[in-house]
Amino acid sequence: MSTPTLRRPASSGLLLYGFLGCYSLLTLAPFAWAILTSLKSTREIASGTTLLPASPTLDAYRILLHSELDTWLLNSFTVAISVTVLNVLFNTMAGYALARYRFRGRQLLFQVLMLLVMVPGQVTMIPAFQIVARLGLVDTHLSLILTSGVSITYIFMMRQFFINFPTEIEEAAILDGCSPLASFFRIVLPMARPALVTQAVFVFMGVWNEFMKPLLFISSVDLYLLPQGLNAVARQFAKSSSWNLIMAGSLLSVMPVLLLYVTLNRHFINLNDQSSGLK
Amino acid sequence: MFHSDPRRWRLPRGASIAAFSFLLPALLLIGVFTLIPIVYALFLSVQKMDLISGHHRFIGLANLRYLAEDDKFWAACHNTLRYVSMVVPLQTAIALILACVLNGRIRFKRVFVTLLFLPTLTSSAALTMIFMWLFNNAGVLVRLLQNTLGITINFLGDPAWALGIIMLMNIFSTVPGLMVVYLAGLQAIPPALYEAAMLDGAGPIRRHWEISVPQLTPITCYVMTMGVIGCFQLFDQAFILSGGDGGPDNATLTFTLLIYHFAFKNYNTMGLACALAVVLTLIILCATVLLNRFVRPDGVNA
Amino acid sequence: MTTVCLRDIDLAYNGTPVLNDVNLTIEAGQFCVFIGPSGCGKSTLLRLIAGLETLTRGEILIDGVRVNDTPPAARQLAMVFQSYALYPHMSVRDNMAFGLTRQKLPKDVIARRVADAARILQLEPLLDRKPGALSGGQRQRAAIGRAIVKQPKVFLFDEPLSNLDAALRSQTRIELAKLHRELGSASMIYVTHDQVEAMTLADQIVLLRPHAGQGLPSIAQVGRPLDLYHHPVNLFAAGFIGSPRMNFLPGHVVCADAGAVGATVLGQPCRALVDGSGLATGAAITVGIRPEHIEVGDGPWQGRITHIEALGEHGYLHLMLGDGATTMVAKTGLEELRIGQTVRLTLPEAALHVFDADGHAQRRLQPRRHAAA
Repeated sequence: MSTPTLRRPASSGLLLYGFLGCYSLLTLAPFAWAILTSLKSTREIASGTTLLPASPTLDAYRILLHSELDTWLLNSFTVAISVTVLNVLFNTMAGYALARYRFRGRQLLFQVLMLLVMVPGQVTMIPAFQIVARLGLVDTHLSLILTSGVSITYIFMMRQFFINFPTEIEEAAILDGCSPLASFFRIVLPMARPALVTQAVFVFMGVWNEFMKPLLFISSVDLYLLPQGLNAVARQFAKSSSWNLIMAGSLLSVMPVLLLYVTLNRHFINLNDQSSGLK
Repeated sequence: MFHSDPRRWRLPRGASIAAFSFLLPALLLIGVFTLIPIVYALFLSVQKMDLISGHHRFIGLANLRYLAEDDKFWAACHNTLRYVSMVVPLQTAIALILACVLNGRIRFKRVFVTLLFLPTLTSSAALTMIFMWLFNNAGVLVRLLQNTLGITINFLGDPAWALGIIMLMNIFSTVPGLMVVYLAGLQAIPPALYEAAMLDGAGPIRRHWEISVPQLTPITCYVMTMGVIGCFQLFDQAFILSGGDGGPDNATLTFTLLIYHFAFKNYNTMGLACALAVVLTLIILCATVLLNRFVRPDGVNA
Repeated sequence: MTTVCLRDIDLAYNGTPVLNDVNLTIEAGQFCVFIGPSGCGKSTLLRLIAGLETLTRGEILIDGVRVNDTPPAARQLAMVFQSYALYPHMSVRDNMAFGLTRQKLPKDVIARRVADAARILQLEPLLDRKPGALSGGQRQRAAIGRAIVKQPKVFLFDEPLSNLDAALRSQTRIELAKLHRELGSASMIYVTHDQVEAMTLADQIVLLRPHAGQGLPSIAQVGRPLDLYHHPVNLFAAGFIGSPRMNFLPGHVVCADAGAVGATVLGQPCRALVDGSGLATGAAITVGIRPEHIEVGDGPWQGRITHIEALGEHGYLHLMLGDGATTMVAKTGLEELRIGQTVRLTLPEAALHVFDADGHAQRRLQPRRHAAA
């Protein structure tokens, strides 16, 4: 059934666009300023008088990429991808088991998990550090990967997804002779692709942007992840007014996530156009 | 099709084995890195622990007593309350308004959402640095204010302003995520409700107030709860802005930053850190329960 | 040739009984339809045979072999689900081949079976499409194709036509009947709530009643379609089969013997050609007559027309009888009748059904000797 389009006066449309436009500009302004800064030379910044770069230069980026930044980029990539893979696999498996299988203690397990998810991550990080130390894993990427390996929030998300998903296709697979494991990998996972993509993007983003956990767990400079590394060099650059470098570094750190988001966001952000009517 | 109800679906034997093997990796990691740390935190919170010697002794609630008398603890309380009272209502309201606007007949929705999402995608570290530069004493805004209004504000160094900068940053970065949640909720509201209101002569703002807001109440509840929980967990921006010390003058000291100080700045206050962590968790749980009771609707969905 | 035998089956879910005391034999090559109102457990029974549900008590035997503990895939059955349950990310060909590859059959065997099934169901041009690109009717054929290639002993259909529009439904019904004839040796168990499907497709109908915890067996009656029509064995069967529903009138026995039952129904004398041995004088009974067997125009009964449903060549009159409380429906040709009018009715004695106080039917004699409506 299609919704008849409501005719509203043209002025209200302008108002809406105006509001959105203003807010968007407000949001983008800091980034625009950061971009402009990153294209200036250090001397320009120290003198601090110009708005636009006198002669835009990519020096800041060049300097950064020749420093430890590319190591940190690589570190972030490695950890983020490992964590994403582990999360998507284990969260989905756990969510599936919770949604589909009835076993004794299922309700209890669910309630325990609900309790655990309410405990803020910062709170568990400190004692987790102790455990990681005891396992001899301090200052390794493995510590980050293991401690972030699953996320109860996403287990719940996958559980909800499977609860709302009809079971008939899995029953057909049973009748076709699929074992539960085979059915999971060959039938269930392909069908769950949108939920998997959502998970992957948000987990990746979370790891890429995380600051506190690497701060606690990693102390060697060459093992730093990107946010940590940026923070470390920012102090020295700030003293020498090399804000162009700091801005360049910040912007570089946003690029991968931005790219990921732009390419994949249609999978998890649903923008049904109401005026087109079809629900 | 009630036989498709997965709650009724039972698998033949061997299913329990499958179930547990599916759950095992997740449960293992959660058990070791979430559950045990929590238990350990509870244990340490009543101990005085020396990190160098590894020696610890039971001191009961002495940690809590220390906290209650600690200036820094109360500074953190004050900061957090100030923070929550400003950030949560603002981010909720702005997210709701943006979602209502975007839900209307706007073209280029995806472009707008992508633009607005930029702060959310940016790491707290990067965003903090960008804002630090923006509000720097030698930066553009300060200079602008000096030239136009003749006033000088030391944003980052003034205790009155520092927390405000963090608030601004956070609102920018959390609003898009909340907006998307509201958008999803708005799409579930039948358009017929708005049409009926329009026929009754209600203008757009009235329509949103009478229809969108009540229908979205469960989501608002969720958004505010998540907002409060997030506010209590503030660490990154405070750490980076203040260089790690929670200044200026304890103005950016948050609970989590204080926990960090107790845990790693001294060698014998790990127990204190855990005690504070436990207190923090309890505060969050209470706030969540209170909020749910306060904002919970009496079943408004049509 | 396979027989399926269900013995003493109970199924309770969380303490709530769903199926009670099910005893049934489905003969080889038979088209057996499970029918009943919603909640009667017909789909559950089908899924039980498939192995997707677990019974609380009883045995399922396929070809005399107890299969309670046999996994579904090993029972040599194929099932067509109500929603078709095609694997959405695979082509039709792969959907059909999937079960066979799980059985590790050689590739040429698989290819041949898929081709044969595609030919029978006219799926050849659609083999490389994904289910999302097919219409409802095409998906249904693909689901049937997936079942055929497994060459099962028994086909299970769970309301396969309910998602199709009316025109497609009647067409597919005919094709299913043809398929059954073509596939010869396989039995088909078919669940539906649609009486027309049941009556036209079934060799044997199994009528199930909803389990209200009354301790009654779930199966109300088993038999050939026309047997259920002419000889319903209880009130439930009589009231379920036939649309519009049979009219039920309360009455008392005046005299009863093996050749006839005389009764007083709503104050009127009435005679039914049923075997009344076993009925005591004065016993309370229910007399039933189908709308299509009532003769409108003349007779000892009368009723006031409260509503007319005109369907073309014939119509249905809704009548209020003399006592002001009892209603009846009668089929009639379209004479000039108006609402409010009073008509006279004859209830032919050969067309009457008699049910005792427990709802059991007395055996009807000469059920076909009444004037055709």
